[in-house]
Amino acid sequence: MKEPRRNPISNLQLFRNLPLEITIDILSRLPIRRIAICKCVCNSWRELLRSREFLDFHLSKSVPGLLIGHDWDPENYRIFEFVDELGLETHDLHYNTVTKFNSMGFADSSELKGSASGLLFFIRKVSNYDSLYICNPITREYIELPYDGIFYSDSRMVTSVFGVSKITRQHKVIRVFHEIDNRRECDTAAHLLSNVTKSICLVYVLGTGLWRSIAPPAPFIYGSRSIGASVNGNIHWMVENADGSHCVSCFNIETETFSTFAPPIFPVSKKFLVGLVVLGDCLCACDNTFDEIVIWSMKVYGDDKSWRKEFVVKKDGGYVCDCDDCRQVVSPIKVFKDGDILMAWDEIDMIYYSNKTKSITSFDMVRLDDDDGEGLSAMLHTSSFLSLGSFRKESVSSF
Amino acid sequence: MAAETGTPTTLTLKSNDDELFSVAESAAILSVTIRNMVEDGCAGGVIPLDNVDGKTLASVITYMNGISAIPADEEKKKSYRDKFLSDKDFETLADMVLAANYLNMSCLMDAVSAKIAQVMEKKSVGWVRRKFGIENDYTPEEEAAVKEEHKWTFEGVETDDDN
Repeated sequence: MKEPRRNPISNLQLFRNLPLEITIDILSRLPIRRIAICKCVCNSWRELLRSREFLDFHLSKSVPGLLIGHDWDPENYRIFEFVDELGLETHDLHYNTVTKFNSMGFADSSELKGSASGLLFFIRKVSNYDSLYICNPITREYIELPYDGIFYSDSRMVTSVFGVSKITRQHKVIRVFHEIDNRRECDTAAHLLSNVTKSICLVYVLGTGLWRSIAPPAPFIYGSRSIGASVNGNIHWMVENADGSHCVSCFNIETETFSTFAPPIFPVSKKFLVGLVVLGDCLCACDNTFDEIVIWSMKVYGDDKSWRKEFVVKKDGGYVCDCDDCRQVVSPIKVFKDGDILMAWDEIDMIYYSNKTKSITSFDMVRLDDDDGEGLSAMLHTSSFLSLGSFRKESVSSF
Repeated sequence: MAAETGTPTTLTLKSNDDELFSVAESAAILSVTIRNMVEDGCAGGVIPLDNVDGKTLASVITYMNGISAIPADEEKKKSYRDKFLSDKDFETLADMVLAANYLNMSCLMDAVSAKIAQVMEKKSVGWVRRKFGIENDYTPEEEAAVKEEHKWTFEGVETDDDN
């Protein structure tokens, strides 16, 4: 059908009539680099694109990308966008680089410990205390949080997570610390937990400039590397109790209260290689203890009777480990539309399950050298222009 | 409504340039604006749509008929929407997004917004200004400063201002 050309002026009038929310809706669909370019259009677009209204809308609309990096290669943290369409042969050939950044720009030898609504959380371990950093790799800003006063002797007894509250959208860092009397025997979970002399929980709300003490949870032991699984405004850890049993510790970021609920019922084993992750909007527990990787999902959030086996992935060849002291936890990162699953094999490798061939292979998206060992961080991350400068009482630097 | 009687009810819609269109009520009520009028009993005669011109309304009606003929299969609906929008130029898309907003048709609105964003993806700042009717109110110094602020995002970006 041939359409007559109209006078462009009338059209411009039309577009000027566009309600603000439609403009926001359209611009929020652009890739992150394009948003930066749109800031150059005019002053009002620039103001719009850095308004909290736009940033929140954009964050809510964005499909998270993959953030990947290695502790030993701080100059090469990379963020990718996935192409998730049906009919792709394999996903590791379909991605775009968003940006690359250097964490040395703000802290030497730090570890990536979380991502929440456009911002990243890094920890630098300095003998027995931690320096904590928040950065935005898109705006290239960072802040170092004030010292929280925690000095620890056993890293199993301290954990830190970063998340965003559901209603007030506040970014918070939560530190839980169980102080132990380490003059006594601390070999088992029971020993450790019976030697707890004090429990502390501190919360830092970004923009307040201070740590606040809140009621701590009952003592338990954290998975040493868990960064927490954030969904539904809650952060979850798989923790160990004094009797060696495990439960899910849940922290409500909004109300700052702890609760616990039961994990799936796992087969009995000396090993316990289970980590919590979030897939889609569902809390999942991934069990790597046996010959299959089993991913359980909590079908009804908060109902611990609703755990169901969602995926069972057969391991073969080099992925089966029989040693008793194996610590390798698998963290699924993304389930693609075609049922393929991207996973992090502990902190060592990225693996990829093909739903078509029902097999797992090493993921070639980011070439990892086998000799490089542990220290891999891989997680979903949503890129945003949320400026750290918009948080009051924070002294922001650039990197 | 239509389903109750067995004979499809037809509505008459009138564009702001006085063109009249007949459309099955079952398709037209994809528009919440029209559905509310039908439910309020204001649809007996002609429904005037003061913010939509005839050409755009014809296009919207084509969409209404096409999408409502597809059974509840989100993949098929999506591919219909993609095909429907694939040959539309930017000006038409701009008219459509305003019409979809006025008619309160969220699925069309969503698809057109996504399409506009897709078209914008490879365009220069100048193109965006022209098409959106925006005057550059930056001084050269200010514009340079904004670019400098997000320097890395401009590296390796290609633009294609055709169409």
